[in-house]
Amino acid sequence: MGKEAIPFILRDLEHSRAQWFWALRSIARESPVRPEDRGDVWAMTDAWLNWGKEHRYI
Amino acid sequence: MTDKLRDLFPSLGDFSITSPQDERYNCIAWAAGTVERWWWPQEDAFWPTEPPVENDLPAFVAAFETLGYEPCADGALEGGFEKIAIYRSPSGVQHVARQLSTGRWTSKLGGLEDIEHASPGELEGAEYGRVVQYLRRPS
Repeated sequence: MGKEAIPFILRDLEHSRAQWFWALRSIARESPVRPEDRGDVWAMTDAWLNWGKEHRYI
Repeated sequence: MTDKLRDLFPSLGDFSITSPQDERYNCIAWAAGTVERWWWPQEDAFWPTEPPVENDLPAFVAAFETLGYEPCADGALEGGFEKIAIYRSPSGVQHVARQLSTGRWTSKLGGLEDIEHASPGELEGAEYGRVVQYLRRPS
């Protein structure tokens, strides 16, 4: 699974709130989540959705 | 939901669901007394010791030691102490349950509900493995 999967994962993250964080970090090879937000599911979701918009995945 | 839980945990006896389903926190967080974060020893979750470590019993013991817990012999109700039970399967730690002051136990089931149940052994089986460590701290 490569970066082409990122839009689908982000859409699912947005709608189902399933925890795709590990998969996103593995595929993107980076993480927008601030260390102080680790484990805060809503903050992590927002960070990844904002990242997706900045990188034009969604 | 009750039927689903009984399918997952066939040994579950008399239990009650004590919270709505909530995916913001998991059993480790619930055992630690918080509902604000998902606790797991990996980079994508909160863990009280740094750096994130592997999913094995020593990591969980160390995490709960930061909250004042220490190993103890069993899950019997002891005045002046609160206890937790750590479950492990062959693939690693799967669950932590916390004893209530009544002697019953409370568990958050993954991203599902919290339940109150009679004993740690009721959740042993294919899902969570078996209890491999009890910890206690002054209450």
